Amino acid sequence: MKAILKMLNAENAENQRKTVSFGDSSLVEAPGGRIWTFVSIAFLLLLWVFSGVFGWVEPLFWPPIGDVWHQLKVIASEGYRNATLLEHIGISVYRVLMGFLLGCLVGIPLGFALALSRIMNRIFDPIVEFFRPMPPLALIPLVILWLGIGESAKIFLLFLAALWIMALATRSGALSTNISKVYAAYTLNANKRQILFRIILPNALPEIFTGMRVSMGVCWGTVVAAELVAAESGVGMMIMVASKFLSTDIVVLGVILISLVAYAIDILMRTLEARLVPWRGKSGH
Amino acid sequence: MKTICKIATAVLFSAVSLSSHALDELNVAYFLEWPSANQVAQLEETFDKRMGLKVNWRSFDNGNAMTAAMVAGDIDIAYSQGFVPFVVGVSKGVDLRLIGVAMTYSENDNCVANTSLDITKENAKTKLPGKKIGTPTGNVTHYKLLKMLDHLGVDKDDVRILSMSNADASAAFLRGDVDMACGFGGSLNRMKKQGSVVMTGAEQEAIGLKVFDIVSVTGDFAEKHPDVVRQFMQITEDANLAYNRYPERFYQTLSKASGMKLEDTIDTLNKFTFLDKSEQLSTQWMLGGIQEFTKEVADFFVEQDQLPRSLSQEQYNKTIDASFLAEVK
Repeated sequence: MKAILKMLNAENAENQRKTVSFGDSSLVEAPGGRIWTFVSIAFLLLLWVFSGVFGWVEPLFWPPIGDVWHQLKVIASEGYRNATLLEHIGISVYRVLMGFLLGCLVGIPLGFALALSRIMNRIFDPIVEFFRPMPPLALIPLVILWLGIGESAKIFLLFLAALWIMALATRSGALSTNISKVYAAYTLNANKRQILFRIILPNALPEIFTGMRVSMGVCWGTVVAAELVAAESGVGMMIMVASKFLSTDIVVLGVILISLVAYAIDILMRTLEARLVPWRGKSGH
Repeated sequence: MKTICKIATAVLFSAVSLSSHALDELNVAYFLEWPSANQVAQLEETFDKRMGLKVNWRSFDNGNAMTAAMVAGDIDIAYSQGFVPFVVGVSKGVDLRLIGVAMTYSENDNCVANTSLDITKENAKTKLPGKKIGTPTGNVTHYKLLKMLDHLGVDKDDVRILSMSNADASAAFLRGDVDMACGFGGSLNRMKKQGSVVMTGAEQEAIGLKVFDIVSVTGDFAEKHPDVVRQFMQITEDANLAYNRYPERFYQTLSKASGMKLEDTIDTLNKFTFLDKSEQLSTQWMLGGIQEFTKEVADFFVEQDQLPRSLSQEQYNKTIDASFLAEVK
């Protein structure tokens, strides 16, 4: 207990150098306090271990940690349904990244078009608003009819999942540009191209990054369902097939694998964000 | 504040009433596009009237989801749950009881190969390897496919089995994305437009493949509400007898109940057999046949690496309970 208090004090001391300690996002993201992360993870793991040991939950609902570990070892060494574990993870990552990249490739320019041109806005706004609330999963039967059951169908679903999020994030980022900055640039004789790349894009980047992180999360959620479309491999397919045989241990294993990979990618994107957008949260609008 | 109090009381009250013993609602699982004789009673609310309960019919698209909903306590009785999901469920330790046979339908569940490939049971051994087969998994269709490949001398690892839902299988087959597809009901009819069956239902029956749907309840529900279960079986038996006598009288109603076109309904119904009490209570079915078949199916799935382990014959025997049917008049 004393140790924890001491740590809290130490952190407070650090905070005191700042004038405010609440509402300053740089403090939340500042290093230090990692111990709480380990406490929360250790607590969850212990809870899982004990619930298995004392039989608090039916294994059918949530398998003991040992079962999941065992499945991991079995699948890692023998594979699952004619593909190794790495192949399953690899193909899922490939699908997610492809769908995500295509979504960015179309979504970001679309977002700028929506924000910067009135005619483009009038053309695309109803389309975006109409398709945005449509869950990609509802389109699965149609996508099979259009694109079949190959990779393109799965990637198309993920593309749809990422597209609207990216378009909207970009639009709102671009629209948040302070007009006085634009005037200032024009005063300095900037052309349209310079305005876009020097003023609007840097302003929109923080929101674009947030959009990318959100859409990456949604893509991971969608890949499980996309792999329902006649997949031979993929972590999502592993989960779906295992659920048909009530193999909760494999389902949980798949969920954890997806979370770990998604988390790793998220950390990567956060690092990238810190590098590319160091001005995040610091710009005076 | 007052409203919050009210809401809190309401929530508390409903929680209490959920856990209480008296039953005022019955949740029954069934399939769409799967007409059964007792759906006449479903549509006319005979169940509600005779049992004095509100009966909620919940539609599902696969039997494994029925098992999952029964485990969660949301479904009390599953009518026409597939036999294989039941076997998978009990093998996994779910407390389910098989209390009757809903219908048998060898011809209404099959695998169809693209006509242009000209695959027959004679040449399948050489022609099938390397081909893509779309099928639902963990159900009777899957079981039939694996059994059939086994019988035809094709190693299941030499074909590419793609797991997909019944409806998706027919869509993928019609687009030509898979060379062979397996399914049931409306999907199977659609597949047959571009394909031909490799083995007929009768030929599959001859190699010992029984295809039937069952009536299942959770063990807990059977023990707490035996009267409700018995009444359910009684109404179903009455409906089966009425249907078997004059099937054509019920086509119109069943078309409405199953959500299928009239001609499709008639076509599907013609491939169904609704066994009455005396037929079910025979050694071929509830008094021995199913017990043996349960063990056989479970062992086969273990052998094919689909299930980790099976139970003993005694344990399976305990999951099959003919007592409710026996009390039906």
